[in-house]
Amino acid sequence: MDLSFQPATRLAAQLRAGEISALELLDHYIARIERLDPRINAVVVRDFDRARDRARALDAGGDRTAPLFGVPMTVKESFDVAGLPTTRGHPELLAHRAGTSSLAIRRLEAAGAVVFGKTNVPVDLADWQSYNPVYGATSNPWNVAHTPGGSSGGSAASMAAGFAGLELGTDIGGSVRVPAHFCGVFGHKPTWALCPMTGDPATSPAAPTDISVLGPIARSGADLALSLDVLAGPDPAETGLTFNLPPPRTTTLRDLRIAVWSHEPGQETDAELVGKIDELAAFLEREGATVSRTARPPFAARDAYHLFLKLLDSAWSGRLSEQQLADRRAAAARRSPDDMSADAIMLRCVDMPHRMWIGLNERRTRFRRAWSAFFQEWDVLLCPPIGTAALPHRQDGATWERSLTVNGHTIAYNDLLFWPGMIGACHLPASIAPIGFTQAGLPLGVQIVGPIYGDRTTIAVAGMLEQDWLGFTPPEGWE
Amino acid sequence: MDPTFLSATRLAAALRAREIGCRELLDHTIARVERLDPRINAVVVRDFDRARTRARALDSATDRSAPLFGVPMTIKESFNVAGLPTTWGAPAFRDSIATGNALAVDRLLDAGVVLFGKTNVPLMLADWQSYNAIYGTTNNPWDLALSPGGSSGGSAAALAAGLTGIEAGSDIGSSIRNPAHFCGVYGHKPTWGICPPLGQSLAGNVSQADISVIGPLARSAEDLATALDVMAGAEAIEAGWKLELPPPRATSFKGLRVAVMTDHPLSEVDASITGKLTELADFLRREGATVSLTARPDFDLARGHRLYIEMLRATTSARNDVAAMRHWRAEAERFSRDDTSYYAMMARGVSMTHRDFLLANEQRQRMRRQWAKFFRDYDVFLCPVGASPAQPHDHQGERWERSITVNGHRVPATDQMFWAGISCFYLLPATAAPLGFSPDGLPIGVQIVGAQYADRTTIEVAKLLETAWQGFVPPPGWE
Repeated sequence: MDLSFQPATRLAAQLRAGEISALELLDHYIARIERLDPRINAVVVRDFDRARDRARALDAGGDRTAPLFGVPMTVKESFDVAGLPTTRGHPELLAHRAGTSSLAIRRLEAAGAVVFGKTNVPVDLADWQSYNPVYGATSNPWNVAHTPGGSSGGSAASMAAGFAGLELGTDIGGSVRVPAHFCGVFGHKPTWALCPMTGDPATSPAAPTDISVLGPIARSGADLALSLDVLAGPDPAETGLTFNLPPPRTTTLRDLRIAVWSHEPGQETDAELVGKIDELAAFLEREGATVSRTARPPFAARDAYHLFLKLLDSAWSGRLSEQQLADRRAAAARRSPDDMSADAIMLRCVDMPHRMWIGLNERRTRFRRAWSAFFQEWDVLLCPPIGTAALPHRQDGATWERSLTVNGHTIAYNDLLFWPGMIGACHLPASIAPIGFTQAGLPLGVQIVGPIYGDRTTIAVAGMLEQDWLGFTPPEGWE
Repeated sequence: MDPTFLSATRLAAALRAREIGCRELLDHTIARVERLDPRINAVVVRDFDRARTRARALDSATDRSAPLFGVPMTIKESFNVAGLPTTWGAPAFRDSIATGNALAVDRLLDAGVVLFGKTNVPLMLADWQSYNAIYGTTNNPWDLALSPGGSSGGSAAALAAGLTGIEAGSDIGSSIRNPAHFCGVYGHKPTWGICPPLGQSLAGNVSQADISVIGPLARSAEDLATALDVMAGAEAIEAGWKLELPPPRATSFKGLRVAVMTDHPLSEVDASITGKLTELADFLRREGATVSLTARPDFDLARGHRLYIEMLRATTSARNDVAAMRHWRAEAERFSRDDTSYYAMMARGVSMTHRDFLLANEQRQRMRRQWAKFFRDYDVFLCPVGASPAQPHDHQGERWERSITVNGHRVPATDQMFWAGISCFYLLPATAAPLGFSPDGLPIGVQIVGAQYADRTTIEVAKLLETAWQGFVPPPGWE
């Protein structure tokens, strides 16, 4: 395989062995970005000169035992990198430069990574596409008429197009998982609060946001495992805690106990995706895994989903401006009280009393405990990452005004939150692995969900699928 | 050997060495409860038969290594103990019998205690007194006309009266520290989150409330250290983190960096307490400690107090029904947003939106960073636990309408919430230890506040004071 599409772990091994220098590899990726990125517009902030200095320094005397020694990385635009802008799609923030890098960036750099650019996002990281007035729209390398997803859309596109060795995204409603699935790459949404999100103290919130996490996007399961070890662990301020993730529950498909939830009545999921997950389930059964197609946690999926919508909107509410609040109040007033669509449920949360949030949190904690009991019987749950493959670009109106067609039925755009949301609300870890393609040639992924702190198990299963079912495939025409 | 007022650690050693039998010690303790508790009404739920069976079993045990082996224990009524009522003093829960043990109860039983009863609380644990319609009123063993404090008032009274070996309580607004101070015993409010409160709840709630913690009360500082080790640590399903509390920063006064604050404009403190604290500061200086009377964290403590009251009342607002919420919203609207009277802050807090809660939380998080910075320069911060020694029973009206006597005049009882919040609002550990006696012979305590996770440091300082300054003294007339 061309160097461009190798996993970060392989690149690090070659760099360590001196088969290629950090500067050579960086220049290789920079040349690709200069030649090919105009097609998809993924790497929107470029920091090539400083990166070359750093690569030269690593070549001259860097610690070659560092796990990501010399691996060129791009990261989602929303992370602070000292000296670069962090805009989250807002033009008025473009002139500002971060003074301090996010803790995650500092950890990756301490592990030897060479961060040389930042990748595109939607405004406020709030869409399954990645376009904004600062940087424009990012396209999917598998088909440039389609979105790579969002909000870590530039991240997944950069991985699929072979623009860097590793990526870092964030996820509150599928923002790591959906783009990984749309672009045919691997992604991991860690257990909530495992990887601290501390940013530049001058401009970032000090308090963590419920449900929101950061996580790696990569071209192999092994890369997810390695980067999780780099990213996880308490903020240095939390000196009384250490990180204690259990090892993967099993290392072979044969020993796995797998619950498969490929579709849910009342929630449209594209038939091609459902079919592919069912095919995978049949394969796993043939491989000797224990597979159930009916095992479910003991609560209604719809209840867990609606709970997520309310918790998501609550979590976000602290960041809304007065104008955004007013817009949401007005939009809520236009909805009928009987409207149980995703958007109506979210909009109605606009002035939620804290008392009501306490009740929601109590329910979530109960669901979380029910999941823990579920995962005593099952090692992982396999389900869709979201209800469709990559969507065609569209930039009409607000997300809550959009609809789309799945399996011939019209659904609200934001009702796609079902699969990612139900999992995120309960803080569970979930890895995405590629599992196939639609007839139109768009990638399909599976969401591998595990118990709280079972991150190493979901990543190990992604690695097993990579080995025995399907790994990363580069899109055609990106040599 | 009269075991009555010995520390739990000392009792466990005597039991381990068979200087006294578990059954013998339990019977001694039960006899005291039957003879003396009518004076103070502290041990309001009694479980003598099961305790005798357990004590007999322990007497024939070969493994006597458990840290609290055979120690007779009572626990705050709010903890679930299978087969016993958990009512929080609320008549609606009069017949509510727990079906399982709180996690802390299981851990303490595993550590060898013989649990034989539960101790009194105020209604919904919401007072610095301990009376309710189910169990009546608990008195202070130092003076029956006074309250033992609350909400862990029965806990502290039982320890001071020699009716139990060790206790556990809970604290969201000084509920461990205040009764320890009023009764002349030790209490430790742990760093938030390190002692899982599962099963210390009404109606089977499982989520952990903000600010609220559980922790031990005892007759010696060493007992606090032992019980904290037993009660702390993630529950099994949260075991992706491991608690590793750092050792005490100092084991002698020499070189200990101490900041002392005896008073604050928001809460006038009785001269009996400020005088004794000033004496202690001089003593520590003579013992070789570095003492500052002016060092403070770099933020406005008055602003922090306002946030504390608002977030505390938002956190406890779950107890209100819809009609009560409507009432508090209307009350909040009567006051300007700048009104910092207790009632206005409370009304605002109860009816707070979740968005406002998040904004307040962000401010608190920044204040926590300032405390962290402060504790790089100082090991402990010493201050009052409350504004006065124990006060007479007062069951009139609402809590926020009552006053107490400080320096000979009446001040609002709620002023001293300032001393409650100074540690717990910022999630910091705080140990209450005996400081001395007022001119009237009433016990007074000192609050020893430390950095997040520095629980062993605050307890160690209490231990040093116990030897060199003031230890537990039994009240007269309780032989």
